[in-house]
Amino acid sequence: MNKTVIGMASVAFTMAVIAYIQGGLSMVAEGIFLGMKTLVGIFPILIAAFAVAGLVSVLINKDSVSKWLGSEAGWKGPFYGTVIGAMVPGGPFFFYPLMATLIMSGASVGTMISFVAAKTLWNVARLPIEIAFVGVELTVIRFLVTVPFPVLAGTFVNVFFPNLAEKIKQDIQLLQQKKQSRNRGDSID
Amino acid sequence: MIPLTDTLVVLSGMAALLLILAFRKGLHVEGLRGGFRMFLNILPLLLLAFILVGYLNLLLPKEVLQSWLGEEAGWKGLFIGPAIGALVQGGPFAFFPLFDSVFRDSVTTGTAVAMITAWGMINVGHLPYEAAFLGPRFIMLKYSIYILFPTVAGFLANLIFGP
Repeated sequence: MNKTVIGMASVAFTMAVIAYIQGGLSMVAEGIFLGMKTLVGIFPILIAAFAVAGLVSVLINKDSVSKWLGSEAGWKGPFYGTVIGAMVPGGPFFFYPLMATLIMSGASVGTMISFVAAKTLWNVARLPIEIAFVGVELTVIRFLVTVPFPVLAGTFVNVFFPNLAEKIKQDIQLLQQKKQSRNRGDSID
Repeated sequence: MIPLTDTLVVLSGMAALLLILAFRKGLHVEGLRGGFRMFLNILPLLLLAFILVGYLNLLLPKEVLQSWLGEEAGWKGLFIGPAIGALVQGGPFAFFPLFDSVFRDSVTTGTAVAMITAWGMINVGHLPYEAAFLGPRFIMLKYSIYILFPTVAGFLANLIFGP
């Protein structure tokens, strides 16, 4: 989050400098004014969008997610993965570790491929923001043309790469061991 | 873009429905508070994003965007659009305002769909997390299956709904 702010601030600063070179101080001010005008225009929509995001996050919790995906879900796995992926809130720092945990506790790789596809394609917590800025029509079109993909991709992986789960489990185990030994090293210091 | 009122109606409807669901579980206050906290957290970022949007509007010539991503770009837009989408960082509050004010009017429906889809699905900003938690084999599997999908989705959108 902080890195993002710093990154964006430096880009904004660079653009302000370019604007200054092209049109002097008045163009610098014009850029800020134009941006703020857009923000004020969209403000009522933002309020509704944040209400939706906050309410979704209290209605869905981690326990219910692992209950659905953790154990063997069989051929229904990709389907559950898609539905839950679309609903579970949280950023990459939350859902990638969650996926590692789920794979270790028996979820199939296909289920996870479906999960992350639905999560990144049309997450409910992000949808209001998309609607707010992009509009209802384009959001609906995007949903309609992408809707079969997560289930298909997950099923494809489960049918054609059934042995991949063990290898990916080994990868995750290795990564987790590395982290543990690093933590131990830190605590000695 | 759709008139603001449509968007507002749909979103308010969603909020109202969720509020009723949360109210029945006694979680409505917590949920609204959570939303407000999210808003305060994101506010500095939002202000910055809109300053960026303002400058981009002033400085990026519309003709250049049109020739790279618009109707005259043809099928090229379906490849260039997602490539740009996959590179944009900073989460939905940086991407969507940027998309709406800079690209929206220049691109075809398909390129818009491809761009947003690629931003979500094959965003390079997710790579460090995937590498740290899931390992190289999962990354290879995910990207080999996902990589062409935004372009396909964009192509379908143009085909079915027109550019």
